[in-house]
Amino acid sequence: MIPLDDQLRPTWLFGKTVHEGCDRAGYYEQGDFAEVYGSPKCIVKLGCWGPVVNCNVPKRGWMAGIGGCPNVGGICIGCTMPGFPDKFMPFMDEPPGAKISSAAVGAYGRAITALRSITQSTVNKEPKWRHPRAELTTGYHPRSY
Amino acid sequence: MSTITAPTKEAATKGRNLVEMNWDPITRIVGSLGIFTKIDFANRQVAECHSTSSIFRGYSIFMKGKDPRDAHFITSRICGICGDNHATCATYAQNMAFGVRPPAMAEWIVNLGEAAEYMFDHNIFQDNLVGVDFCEQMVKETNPSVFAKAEKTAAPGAALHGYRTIADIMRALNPFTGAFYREALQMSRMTREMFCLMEGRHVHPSTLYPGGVGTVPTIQLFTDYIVRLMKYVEFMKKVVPLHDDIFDFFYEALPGYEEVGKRRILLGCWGSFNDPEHCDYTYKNMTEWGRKMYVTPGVVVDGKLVTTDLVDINLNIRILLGSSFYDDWQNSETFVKNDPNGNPVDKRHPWNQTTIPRPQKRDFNGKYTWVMSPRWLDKRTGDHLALDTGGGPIARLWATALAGLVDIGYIKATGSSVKMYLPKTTSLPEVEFEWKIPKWSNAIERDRARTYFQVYAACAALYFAEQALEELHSGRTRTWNEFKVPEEAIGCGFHEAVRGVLSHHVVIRKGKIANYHPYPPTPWNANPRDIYGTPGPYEDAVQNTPIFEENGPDKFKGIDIMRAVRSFDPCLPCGVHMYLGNGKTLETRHSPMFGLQP
Repeated sequence: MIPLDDQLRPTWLFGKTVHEGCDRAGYYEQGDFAEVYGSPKCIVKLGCWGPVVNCNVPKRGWMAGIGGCPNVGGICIGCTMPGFPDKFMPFMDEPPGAKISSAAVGAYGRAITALRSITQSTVNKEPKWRHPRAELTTGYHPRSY
Repeated sequence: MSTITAPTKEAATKGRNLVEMNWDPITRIVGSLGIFTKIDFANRQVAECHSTSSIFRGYSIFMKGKDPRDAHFITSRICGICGDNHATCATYAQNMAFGVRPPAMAEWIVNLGEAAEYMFDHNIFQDNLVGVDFCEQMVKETNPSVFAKAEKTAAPGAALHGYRTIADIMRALNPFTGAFYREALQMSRMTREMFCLMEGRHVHPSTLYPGGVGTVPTIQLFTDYIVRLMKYVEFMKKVVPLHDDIFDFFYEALPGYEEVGKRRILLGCWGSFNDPEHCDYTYKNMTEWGRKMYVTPGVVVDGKLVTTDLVDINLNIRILLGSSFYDDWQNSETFVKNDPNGNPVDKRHPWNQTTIPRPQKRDFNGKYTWVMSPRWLDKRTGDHLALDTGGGPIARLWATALAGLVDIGYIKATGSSVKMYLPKTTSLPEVEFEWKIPKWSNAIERDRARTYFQVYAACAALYFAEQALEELHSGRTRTWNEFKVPEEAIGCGFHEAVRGVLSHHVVIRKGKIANYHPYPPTPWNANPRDIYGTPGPYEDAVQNTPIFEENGPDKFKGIDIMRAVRSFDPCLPCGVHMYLGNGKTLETRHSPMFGLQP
């Protein structure tokens, strides 16, 4: 028998949450949230219940890796859950916990994004020895010429 | 196929020897459809037919009190194969009720999704479900002499589809083993991928919202779609001649086959694919933007196009009772006295309907089904017409052809036909197909129209992709506009589900849903005799159908009746368990493999 959880659901399908498999989780971590539908950012403030829903659709896509609700801009409405639909309606409202979590991660995210942009602009430049000047500053000292 | 034969000799109404033959539930369709017939074997004809459904869902009851923004998510779950049609239609009704117009990009994305849906659904139904009725195994069992003839008949389109004889085509249609059956299955996967690209998942889309969509438009999104679309286009260049060959063969091998599933030409099409340049979702302008749809709405009576006006179509919908398990609602609330243009709205209109279920035992002389009887009032004659959709494609093509409005390069409606142009693909040159208005509304023509509509959907998708890319290159990438749910509002959405006409009517009071009535195509097709005694479309199409099957009552499969019924692409929400009262559950398994249980 394949591994089942305490609600007798196959763990390969229901073991992880939507959030753990979502393409946009990085936006969440950086506190970067969508204000309108159609934005490529995290849609948790627009009604997505991903963080608390057991489902692996965003991880494996819907068909052959294609699709996968929040990946494509569709808020997760928790349709795999025993509490669906009553505990998730109205679907387009921000879930109750999201206000707190998005505020918390927002503060951290803004700070960390600022720090990351410093590192990022550093690594977006090539090493100092790469220049078109005549003299060699790579640290190599030729002995034969 | 579960066939229950009860050869009781009946001293019937017409003094004929009638044998009762019932198919309940019918396989290779979605749901709990039961067809009960009385067959006159001596005269090889179906004398009587009753169409029943033993399931009640209750959407019109539980939608009340819900947040109107949730309507499209919930109603999507009405159906597991065309749920996206419901979601789309619901958003049309929501947009009207909320007074919001989505950006053009959103409209193209929705159109691309719906086109993919038609390409998917028609393909899988036609080639993996309907096709089985025409396959070698079936034809050998029901009409062996026809199969013998098929072995000797060359397929006219052999050079295009690669099957030398008609019998070769029939072998390729065999379930699970036939080459064409398997190829069609692969194609259906690919078309679902196309849908998922646009709407996140299939069949219940996650990216549709009132006000637009959540999909992010990028070059990759559209090229991924187009790459798959071109494979489908190439496939269709072979499918059209293949189906034409087999359908034409049946007319030839069985003279008189045009009578199978034939009924009076009474077709309804509510239009599909909105044009964002004209569609503002207001009731005031609905007549105008309805005519701009890329599938023209219309009612066709006896071959004549009676109207293309969605307001006209809307106002004349009547929901009749007579043989359905409901109480009448004449004493219930009237929600909408006048439409936004000031026209009076009838009590039997979906806006004013109250659904009061009254479960009871089935009685073919009284009430025998959960399906109500939608009719369309023909103002010219006062008749309540039992319109049908013919499974969807035939009504869409017929109305569009007659209206002569659609002209987008890939598709041109000529007034008597629809021309469709498919561009060059990987290994095949460009092709022009023409669907000409047929002489009859019968089983074969409904099936033929389905194949041609697959081409229509592909052509439309080519156009929509071009429009979407133009919006993208122009920088107009917004896909959603904000709205506020009003305290009091009404809305209606008109769309074509895969199987035909689909309407959602909503009434909002105090910001919540006060009344909601969806009318999918199957109630229009599968309904029973109404209070005026008019039989429903399945009933009169099957009645007076001649029997061509070579088997007698003992080995009777009823293949001609099944071809007639399946040509309508029946889709009732599925019921696997039957409740027999006192808590006894009867389990029935459906299998397309002639009863073999996996």
